[in-house]
Amino acid sequence: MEKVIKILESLKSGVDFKTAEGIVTNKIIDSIDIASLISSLEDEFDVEIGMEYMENENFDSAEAIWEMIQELQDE
Amino acid sequence: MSITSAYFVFFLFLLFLLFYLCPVRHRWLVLLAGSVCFYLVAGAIRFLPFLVFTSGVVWICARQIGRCYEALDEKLKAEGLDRTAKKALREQYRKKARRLLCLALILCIGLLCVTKFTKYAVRYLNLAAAALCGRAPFHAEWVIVPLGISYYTFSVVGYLLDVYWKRYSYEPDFLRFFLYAIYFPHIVQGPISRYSLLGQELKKELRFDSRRIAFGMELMLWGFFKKLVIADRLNQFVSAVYNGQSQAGSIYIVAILFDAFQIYTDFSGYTDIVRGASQIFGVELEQNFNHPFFSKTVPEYWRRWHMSLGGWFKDYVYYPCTISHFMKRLNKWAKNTLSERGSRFTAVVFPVFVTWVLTGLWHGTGKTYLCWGIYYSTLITISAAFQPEFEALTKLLRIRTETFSWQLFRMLRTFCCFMGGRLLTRPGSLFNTRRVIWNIFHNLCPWCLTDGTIFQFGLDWPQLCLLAVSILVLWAVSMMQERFSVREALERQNIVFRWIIIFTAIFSILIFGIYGQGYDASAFMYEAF
Repeated sequence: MEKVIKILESLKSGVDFKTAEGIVTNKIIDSIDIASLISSLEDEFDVEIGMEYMENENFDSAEAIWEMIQELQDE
Repeated sequence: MSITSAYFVFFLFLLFLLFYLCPVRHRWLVLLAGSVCFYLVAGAIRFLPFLVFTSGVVWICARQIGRCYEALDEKLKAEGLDRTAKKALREQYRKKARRLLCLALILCIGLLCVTKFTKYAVRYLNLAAAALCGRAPFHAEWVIVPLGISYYTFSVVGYLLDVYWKRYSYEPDFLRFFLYAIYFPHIVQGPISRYSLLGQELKKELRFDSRRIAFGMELMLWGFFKKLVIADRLNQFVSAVYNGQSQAGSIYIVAILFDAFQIYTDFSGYTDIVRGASQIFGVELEQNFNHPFFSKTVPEYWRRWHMSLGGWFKDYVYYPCTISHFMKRLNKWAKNTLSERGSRFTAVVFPVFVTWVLTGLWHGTGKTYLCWGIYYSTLITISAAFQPEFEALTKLLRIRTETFSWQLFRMLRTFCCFMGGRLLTRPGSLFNTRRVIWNIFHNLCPWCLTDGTIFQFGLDWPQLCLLAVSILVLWAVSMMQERFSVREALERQNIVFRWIIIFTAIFSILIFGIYGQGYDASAFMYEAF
C-alpha cells in the first residue's frame, strides 16, 4: 500500500493519497496520469494490468489500486 | 425527417400515445417499432440491412464470447486443477474469444471504413490513373453511407468489447439488443450510448411520470431554441462567408467566432432535443455536453465536449493503446535509457497521437481532419509534458492563479485553441484555411465591421442584435446550469411565472427561429459524421 501511495505522489504532488477518494472520478488524476501510473505499477509489482481492470473504480483510491494489485498477484 | 421538423413533433406525439396506451411490459416493443419507423423515414429502407447486419454480427459474436467464458468458469470449478493448468485453460478460452472478437471487429469496422473511405480512396486512385493513363476508371457512385453508421457502429462495438473484457454479461435477447442499437433518439447523431447504461434504461419499467415528461419537454424546448434561434441564424452568416469569395480578415475573424458558437449550439441543441424526447419515454440518455466553453484547459475541454465520443475513444482506443505490448516494451526501453521525465513523455505521446488521429478520421476522411487530429494530439501532449514548466512560469511571473482574471484568461485561451481546430476543418480545405489566415494577417480591414460590409452576409443589424441577445441568454442559462438544475428551479416557481417562461420560449422559437422550406430547418452539422 505504501508503495502505491509513493507512486501516486510522484504523479501528483499536494494530494493526500492516504485518505483521498474518487481520485479518477473527481479528476484528481486524468487519463494521461493513468498511463504513467499503469507503467509504474506493472514495474513495481511485476503484474500485468489487462483491459478488464481498466475501470474507474479500480483506480479511484490508493486502497482500490492496492486491492486490484493483490487480485492480480493472486491470479 | 429532421428532428426539428413538424413531422418529428407529430411522430413523437403519436408514439407518446401508443407508448402509454400499451401495457408497461410491452412498451419497449412500441419503442422498437417506433425506432424502426423513424429510421426508415429519416433515412431510407436501403440503410436498414446495414444496421441489422452490424448489430446481428455483434450480438452473435458477443453471445458466443459470453458462452465461451461461461464454459471456462464451469471448467475452472472442476477440482484437481493446479495453477498452471488453470492458466493454460484460461489462455485456451481467451484465444477462442479473441478470434470471435476479431471477426466481429473486422466485419463491423470494415463495413464502416468501406462506407466512409471508399469515395476518398477512389478520388485519389482516379487522380493517379489519370496521371498514368489519362482516364479515371474507378467509380464510387455505388457507395452509400447509411444514416448514423458511425454512431451505431461505435455503440455496438463498445458493447462487444465490454463483453470481451468481462465488464458485464451478454444480452441474450436480440430484439432487446437491436432496440439499443436503433433507439431513435440516439441513432442519427448520438450520444454514443454505453450498453451498461442505455441497455439497462431500456429494460426498466417505463412508467408514466408527469414530472419527468414535463422536464423532457422543457429540455427539448431549450434544444430547439439553441438550434433554430442561434445555430441556424449563425449558419447564414458563416456559410455565406466561407462559401463566397475571399473576404477581409476582420470578416473571417467574426466568422470563426460565430462558427464556434454555431457548432456548439447546433450539436448541443440536437443533444438536448433527443435527450428531452427520450426522457418523455422514461429513458435517460447520457449527457454529451457540459458547458465546454467554461473549460480552462484543452484536455478539460474534451471532457466536456461530445463527451460520449471522448469517453468512447478513451476507453476503447486510448487505454488499450496504453496497456498494449508495444507500449509496454516502449515504456521499458524509455525507463532504461531516458530520464524519468522522458519516460513519462513516451508513455503519453503515442497513445494520445493514435487516439486523436483516429478521432480526426472519425469526423472526416480528408487531410483537414488528419491535421485536426495531429493538432489536438500536439496540444494535449504539450500540456501534459510541459506541465512542470508551465507551473514554474506561473510562479516566476507571480500570477495569482486563484483570481477570476486568471481563470477567465485560461477559458479564453482554451476557446482560442478550439477556434484554431475549427479553422483547420470549417473552411473546407487546407488551401482555404491558408487563405483565411493570410487574409487575417495581410488584409485585416477592420473598418469592414463598421462600414456596412458585415451586413452583406445574410444578417442585418436587427438580426445581429437578436443574435447577441440570444447568446446572452445562452450564457446566462449556462452559468445557472453550472450551479444548479434550471428545470428544478423553474418547477419550484409559481405556476404563472413558470408558464410565462415556457410560453416565452415557445414563441421565441416560433417567431425568431430560422425555418427553411416546409418548416424544416437546415441539417445538423454532426449528422454528416
